[in-house]
Amino acid sequence: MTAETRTYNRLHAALRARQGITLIGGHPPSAKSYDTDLIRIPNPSDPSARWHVDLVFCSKETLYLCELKGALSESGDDITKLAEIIRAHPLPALVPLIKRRVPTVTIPSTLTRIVKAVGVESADATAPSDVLVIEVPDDLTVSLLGFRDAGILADLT
Amino acid sequence: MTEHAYTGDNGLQRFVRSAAAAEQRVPFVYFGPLARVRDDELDLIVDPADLSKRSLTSDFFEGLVALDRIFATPMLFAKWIVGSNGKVAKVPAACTQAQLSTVYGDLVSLIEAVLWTDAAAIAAARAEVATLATKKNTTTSEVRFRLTRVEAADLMRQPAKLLGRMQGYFDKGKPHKLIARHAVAMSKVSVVRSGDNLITAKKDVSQILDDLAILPAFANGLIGYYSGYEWRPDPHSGVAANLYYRDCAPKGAPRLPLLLFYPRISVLEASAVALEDRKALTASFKMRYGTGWKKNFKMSIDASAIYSVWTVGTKQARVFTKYCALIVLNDGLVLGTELSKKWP
Repeated sequence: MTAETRTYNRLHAALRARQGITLIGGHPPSAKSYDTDLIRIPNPSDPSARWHVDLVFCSKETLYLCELKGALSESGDDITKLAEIIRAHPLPALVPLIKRRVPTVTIPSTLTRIVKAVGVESADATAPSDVLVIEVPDDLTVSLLGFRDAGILADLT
Repeated sequence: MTEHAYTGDNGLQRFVRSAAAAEQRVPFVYFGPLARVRDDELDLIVDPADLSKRSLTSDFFEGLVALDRIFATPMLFAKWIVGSNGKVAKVPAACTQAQLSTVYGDLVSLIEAVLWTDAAAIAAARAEVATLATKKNTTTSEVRFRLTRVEAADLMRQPAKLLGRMQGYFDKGKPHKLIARHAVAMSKVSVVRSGDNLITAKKDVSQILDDLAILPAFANGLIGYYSGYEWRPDPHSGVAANLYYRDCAPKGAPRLPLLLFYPRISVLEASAVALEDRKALTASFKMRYGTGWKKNFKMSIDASAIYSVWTVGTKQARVFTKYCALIVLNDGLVLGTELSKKWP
C-alpha cells in the first residue's frame, strides 16, 4: 500500500468519525470510490482536462479542498493546483458545481470560505502559512499544522 | 464494476476481462450503468434530466452472449442504477441496509445465484443479457469490414490502399485522423515480426506474403479492423477481443480470422521516426482546417508519441497477437500467436 493510500484511508476514516464534518467527495489513489462521488472540476484553461481533488469535505462554514501525499515535501504542485482551482472557481461558483455532482450530499448553505489543505503521512517540510496541513502518521493520530485559525481548530480538533 | 457507460469503442475496453473470464470458464458479472450522463455536461444545463445519457454499446452485450455460447459459462449483467443527476448512485459510508440494497442488491443476488448455482436465476440473468444484445444502439462501423482472401492479400502487400477503401472516414471527425492517415499513406511492408524474430530479407518477406495469400485459414475471407489509435492498450484491444468473439465466430459458421490494421505503429524504430514528417503533416492540417489548422495540429500532436514502435510484452501486444491472425503495421506485419508457430 502506498503512503498516499494510507493517508487517504486514515484521513477518510477520521473525517467520517468527526461530528460536524460532511464528507462530500473523494478521489482515492485507486480512483475507485464507492461511498463518495468523484468530483471532477472543469479547468477553464484546458477544456479537455479536469481537476480532481483527493478529498472534499466541509463544516458548517468552511469548505476544505484537500490534496493527499505521503510527505509534505511532495505537495508543492498540489498546493499550486488548489490555488488554481479556487481562482477559477471561487466559492459561489464552486458550491453549485459540486452540488450537481453529488446531489445526495447536503452541503450547508452557510459556507463562507474555502480552505486549501494537504493531508500527509509525514510533515517533513515547513508547512506553508496559507495551507492547512493535516498529518496522519498512523491510524490514531491527526495533527494540524500550517494555517489553523479558530474555525479550523473547532472543526477538526 | 464500472461507473461508465460508453457508446463507441470505450464501452468495450473492459471486454478483454470478460473474455479472459470466459476462456477460464469463470462466470462473469458486469456491474455498471446501462446509460449515464457525462460529468462535464452537468454544468451546461439546469436540470440533469434534460441531459442526453450515453448508453453502453450493445456490441458489449452481443459479445457476452457469444462468450456465453462458446464457453458455456454465464456472462451476466447487473445494472448500477443512476441517481437524480444521471450519474451512478453511491451509498454513504454509514449507510442502512436498505440503501445498500437499493444500489447493490441486484449485484449481490446475482453473485449469490452463481455461487449457489441457482439455475433458474442464472437462466433469467442470461436471458436478460440476450435481450440487451438485441437492443442495437450502434451504427454500421467504418473501421470494421469484411475482406475476401484476395482483398486481404492485396492490403497486406500494400496497406496504403486502405485509403481507397476508407475514403470518407479520414475526411471528417477528429483531427487525430490526419495523423493516422499520413501513416496509412506512407505504409510499405518490408519486415515481418514472428514472435521474437524479425524477418527483413526482401525475398523472405515476399515469400511470407505469398504464403499468407493462399493460407487455407483465409479461404472464407477475413474480418478487417482498422485502429487509428496511438500505442496504448485501450480501448481498441477490447474492441479486437469483442470482434473476435462477436463477428469472427458467427454461430454455426466457420471462424473468420481477424486482420488488424494499425498504421501509427511500426515494427522498426527507423520507420516510426521517418513518419514524423512535420512538413507533410502540417500540409494536411492546413488543407483540412485552413486558418484554424494550428490549434487542431497542436491538439493532435500533444499525445506522448504520435507514432510508436510495436513493443512485445505490453497489454496491447499480448491481446492483439492473441486475437488477431495478423497485424498490419506501418512498415510490416506482426504475425498473431497462432500464425507465428508456422514461421518461428
